[in-house]
Amino acid sequence: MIVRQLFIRGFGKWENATFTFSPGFNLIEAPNEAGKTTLLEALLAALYGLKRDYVSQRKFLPQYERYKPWTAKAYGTVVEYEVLGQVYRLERNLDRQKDESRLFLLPEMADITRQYPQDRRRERNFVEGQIGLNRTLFEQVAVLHPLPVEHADHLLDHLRGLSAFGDETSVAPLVEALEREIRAIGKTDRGQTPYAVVLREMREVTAEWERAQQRAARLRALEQEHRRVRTQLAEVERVVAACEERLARVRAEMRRLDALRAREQERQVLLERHQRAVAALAEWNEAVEQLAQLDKALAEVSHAAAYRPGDAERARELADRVARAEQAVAEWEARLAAVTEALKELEKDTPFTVDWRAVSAADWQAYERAVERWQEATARLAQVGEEKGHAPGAVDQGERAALRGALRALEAHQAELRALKERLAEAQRRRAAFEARRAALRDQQQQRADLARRVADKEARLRELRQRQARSGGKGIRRVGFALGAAFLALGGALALWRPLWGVLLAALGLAGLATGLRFRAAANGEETRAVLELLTREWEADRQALATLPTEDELARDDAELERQITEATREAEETARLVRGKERAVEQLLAQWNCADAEDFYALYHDTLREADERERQRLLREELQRQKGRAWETLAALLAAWGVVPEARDPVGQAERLRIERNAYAEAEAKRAALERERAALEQRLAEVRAELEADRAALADILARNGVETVEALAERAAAHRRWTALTAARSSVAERLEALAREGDGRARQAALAEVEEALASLSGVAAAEGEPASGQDVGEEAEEDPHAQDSASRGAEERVARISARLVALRREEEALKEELSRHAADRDRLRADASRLQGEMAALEGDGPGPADLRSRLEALRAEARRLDDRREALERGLALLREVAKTVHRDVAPVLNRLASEVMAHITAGRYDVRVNPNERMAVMAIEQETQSARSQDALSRGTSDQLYFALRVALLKRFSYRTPLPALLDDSFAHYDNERLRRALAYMGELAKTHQVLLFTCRDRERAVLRELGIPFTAIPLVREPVRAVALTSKS
Amino acid sequence: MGVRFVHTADVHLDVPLSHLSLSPAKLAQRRAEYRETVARIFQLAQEKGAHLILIAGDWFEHDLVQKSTISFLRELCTRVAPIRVFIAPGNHDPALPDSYYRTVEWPENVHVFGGDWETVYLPELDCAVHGYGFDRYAVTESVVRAFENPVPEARHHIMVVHASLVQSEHAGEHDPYLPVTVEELAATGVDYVALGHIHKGQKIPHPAEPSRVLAAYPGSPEGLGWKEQGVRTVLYGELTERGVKLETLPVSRRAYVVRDVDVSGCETPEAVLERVMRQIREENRESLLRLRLVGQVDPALAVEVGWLRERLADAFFAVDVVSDVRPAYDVQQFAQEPTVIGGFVREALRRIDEAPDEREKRLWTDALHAVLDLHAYGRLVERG
Repeated sequence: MIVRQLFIRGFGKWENATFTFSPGFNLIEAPNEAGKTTLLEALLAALYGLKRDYVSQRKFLPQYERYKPWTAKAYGTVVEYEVLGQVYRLERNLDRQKDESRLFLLPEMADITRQYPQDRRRERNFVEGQIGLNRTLFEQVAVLHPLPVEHADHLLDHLRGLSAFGDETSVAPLVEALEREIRAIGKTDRGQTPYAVVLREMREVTAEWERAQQRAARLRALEQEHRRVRTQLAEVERVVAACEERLARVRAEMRRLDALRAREQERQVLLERHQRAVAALAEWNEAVEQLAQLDKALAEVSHAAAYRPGDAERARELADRVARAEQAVAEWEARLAAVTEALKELEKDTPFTVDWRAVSAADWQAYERAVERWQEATARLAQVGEEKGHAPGAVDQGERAALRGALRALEAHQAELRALKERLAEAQRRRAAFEARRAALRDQQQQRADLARRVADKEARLRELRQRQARSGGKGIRRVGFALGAAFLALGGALALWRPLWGVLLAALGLAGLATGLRFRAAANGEETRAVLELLTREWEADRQALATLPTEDELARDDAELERQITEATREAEETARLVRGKERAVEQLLAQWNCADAEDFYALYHDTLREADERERQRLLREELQRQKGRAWETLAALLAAWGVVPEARDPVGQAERLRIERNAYAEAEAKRAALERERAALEQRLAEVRAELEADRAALADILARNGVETVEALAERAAAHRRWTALTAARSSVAERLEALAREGDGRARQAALAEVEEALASLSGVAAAEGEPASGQDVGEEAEEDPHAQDSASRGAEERVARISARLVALRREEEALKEELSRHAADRDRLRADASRLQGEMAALEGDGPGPADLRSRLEALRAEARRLDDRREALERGLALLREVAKTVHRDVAPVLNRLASEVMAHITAGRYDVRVNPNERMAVMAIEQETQSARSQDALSRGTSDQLYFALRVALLKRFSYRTPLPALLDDSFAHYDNERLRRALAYMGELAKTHQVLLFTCRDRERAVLRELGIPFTAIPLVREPVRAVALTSKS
Repeated sequence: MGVRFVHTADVHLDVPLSHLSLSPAKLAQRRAEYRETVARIFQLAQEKGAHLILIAGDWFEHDLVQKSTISFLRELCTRVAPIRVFIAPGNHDPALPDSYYRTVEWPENVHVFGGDWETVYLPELDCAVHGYGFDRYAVTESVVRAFENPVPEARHHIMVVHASLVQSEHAGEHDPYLPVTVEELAATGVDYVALGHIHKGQKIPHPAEPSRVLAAYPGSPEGLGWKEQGVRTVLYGELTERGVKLETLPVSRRAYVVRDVDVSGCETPEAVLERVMRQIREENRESLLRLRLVGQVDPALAVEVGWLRERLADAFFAVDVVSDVRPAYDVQQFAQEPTVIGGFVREALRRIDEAPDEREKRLWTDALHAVLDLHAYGRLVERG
């Protein structure tokens, strides 16, 4: 198989890229990230697509997502390849949505897609059919990774097939196809396999069939039930008919007895009516008699008819009131006389010294206040008067003045002392601040000095670098160029005069030399130096700017001197102030010594004690004078008031006088109050007396009036009249009641009518007895089954007989009614049974009808179910056959061929011998997932893969992979694809490996992807022909200078 | 005067007809045809002036019968009066308590036998009809041995029973439902035993007098499957002093027909269809036809029986196509190859040879053909 050309529409970073390969050795050399691996994946995808193998549905490999086009719109490839002399063009759209592939035969471009069947993954076996390997296996076989083999089981299947089929075909696709077909049939009820579909439908139909069967069973059961109900119904209907017949008989008997009893009852009614008629006549006669008696009694009390009811009571009441009023008038007149007497008594004596009526309450209060003030002033004077004669002395005055002066001096001294101490503290604080600032200034000076030194250093380095830059690189060449240029130019100029051609040539050479000098000058500066220079310059600039922002040294010195001066000044001021403080303290001490005081506190105590004594004496004298003035003013007030009232004030005892006047005034007020009360009582008494007298007169008049109206003299006579009147009233009422009754009786019928009624009843009775006699039997005791021996003509006995008969008939009727009730109850019970059974029957019929029409018939369902079971059996058999085929195939494959390992080992050993120059041999174990082991030829010792160096290990895998490649190239030589497979080889190993690949490339196409150029060099050196496939390189960004530093 | 009767059995009304794959409409029609056949039997009895109709079991399917079918049967019985109808229920329609035999009120002229021997004496014919009906699904004991004739003095004796005659030519094909031997039947002393259960009609001669018929299976009057091909019948009999004289009368409405079609040499499905069409040109369109494709065909030829069934569906009332074709693989050639396939074919052929039964043989044959299909074509070839 030879890949001729790969066109990538879109795959990873590649878009519309074409790669043409030669049949032999192809070298694809490009740096990392250039897209080599993507190209390799694109080639695999172009040949096989991007779907998983060994699955029965469309499932994409992880590569599908990984290599989605970055920019291209289409996700697809076109590959042209050659197999067994045929050239194919395979177009693929890899997009999941547009998943499509088409195979053409070149050069005629015949579409042969449909010659390759499509499997369930929607993939056709183009390449697989042509070379016998699916994608997974092709990748394991053709891509020579220095790694363990994956999917070794499948490879082994293939290898076994290779042995068995004489390298013609493989058993693995058969196994795979059988497995696929078995899966396609399905084994469980999950998924959409035919077996699952049948199972599910079978389950549904079974359920439906079971329901239908239940319905059918239910229907049969209902039919059974219906039959039972019908039988019961017939029986019940017969019972009901019998019951109804018995009931009809009982009812006829009851009707006959009812008629009999009615006649007996009529007779009884007539007898009762007869009794009532006799009574009514007697009642009428009695009423007429009663009325006559009442009329007679009424005539006896007719004189009391005119009496007005209530007069007697009213007259009694009035007489009582008149007596009570007369007694009250007498009492009140006596009381009035007593009051008048008391008033007269009060008027008699008035022994007051002052006319109190003229003295106003305000004046009196003013007088009392004046007396109080006078009394108070006198009392206080008496209190303070004891210390008379203690006037303040002159010595006190002088001492006090001296003390005050000393106090003022002391206070002044102390104030000054405080001020001085503050000044001293301030001066000290200032000095401390100045010293701190001086320290800061010194730091700044140091910093500035450092910075200045750094700037100087950098300047020096810059200078040096610039000089070196100027000297370096171009220096030599430039100088030689210039020198030679100048020399040739001069010589050329000189020669031109003599030999123009040589001269011009030499001049041209000279010019070239000059040009060389100039070019080197321009270009020779090393980039590195320039970078350092730039960085330094930037730093120097920064430092210089920082220095400029700091104050200059002169300024700093000036500040320092000024601070120094200020500190000195502050120190001096502090010392001066301290001196003053000491002087002031001495002055204070002297002052205190004068007063014998130890300190200022002692002095203040002395001062306050002395001063308090003097002040106390002065205050009492002033108080006495004030009290004298108050007393005088009070006396004036009270004397004026007393004069106005016509009383001589008593200077010796104004308080006693005031007390006497107060008693007199109170007595006056009390007498006044008593007189006013008496006056009020007399007025009230007089008014009440007048009222009672008026009432008394009215009552006397009313009493006289009542007595006159009744024509009697006394109240007692009036009472007798009232009693006569009550009797008259009662008789009148009784008479009217009797009259009313008579009237009522007359409405029912008067005496004649009542007699007529009695006669009528007697006639009717006679007539009824006649009817009974005419019927042949007296009101029939025999009817009710008993003898009745009675005289029908005697009224009472007739009535009694009728009653007994009625009672017997009634008893019989009750018995019959009971029987009727029992029958009715029985009937209704049976009727209920009948109705229930009828309802049951119709319900059953309805239910049966509903069941009959409900759902498909059980036979149809059973038919369907059996068909489904047959289908399930068919599928089971089909699967069983395939499974047997598969098992047998595997068994045969296993038992027939066990010679996979020798062939593979032979091939691998050949390769290993080549690439290790016979140093190592290799052992492949196909049954252990293609495990490999190295055999060191010299010692014939086996070395496991992990005990080898990386390079040897890689060689081991290389040998295995090449062996597989060769083994599977039984139809057509498969291409060998190497993606940086020799990265860990040293040069010697590489030489040998490439030499071997060179040999291999004569039969197999080789595509070697590498990121280094040593493969190219070795190939050249070994003289192996190869085609270099260029990958379009993207421009590589220049590396910035700064990023290196 | 003799006793005239019509003897039938095994109608299996409302049987599921899953083997026919009919459309619902045709299925309903086919079910109706079974009822019509019963009606025809009853009509035949009337035409022949029969005294009795003897139904020896499996008249209908106990589980599946529709109420309407029962109503139809009752109506038929009513109409056929005064002909007496004797029914001996079988294993498909046992007289269980909920059976329609027990729950429906059958007309006066109908007698259903139950789980004990019963005898109905018909004085006008001087004939005793003895019968035993299944009252459960299976009766395994020999009931006939227990039979005692309560009216031995009657002139004619007829027995109706659903039973399987053991040691007959059908032994083993049927489960022993009410097993009975011909000797046991002879021992009862009756003149004729109307049997049911075996769907193929047959007359059983008296063991002592081979010229005389002792019992008979009338066969199913309407075919019930592919094994019951051709015209189906009932028996008409006259019982006289000289014995019973039986006449076989065709009654079936539709016949089952099975035809083999050799499709050897056909290379396309269309060619197969054409071959089939040519072969069945003469067949009755009303038949229930099964075509069995046989012969050796190109291994690549897919024989789609479903497709053929569809193409032929309109031509017949019912068509079933089954395929027994064999792919023309030269298996002997394969078997000689020293490859895995060769080994596989050898081994598969050995297993086919040694298969204990048909199913095993078929499964191994299918397995062999499947592997060869996949080997040759990369796919399975459908052959029905």
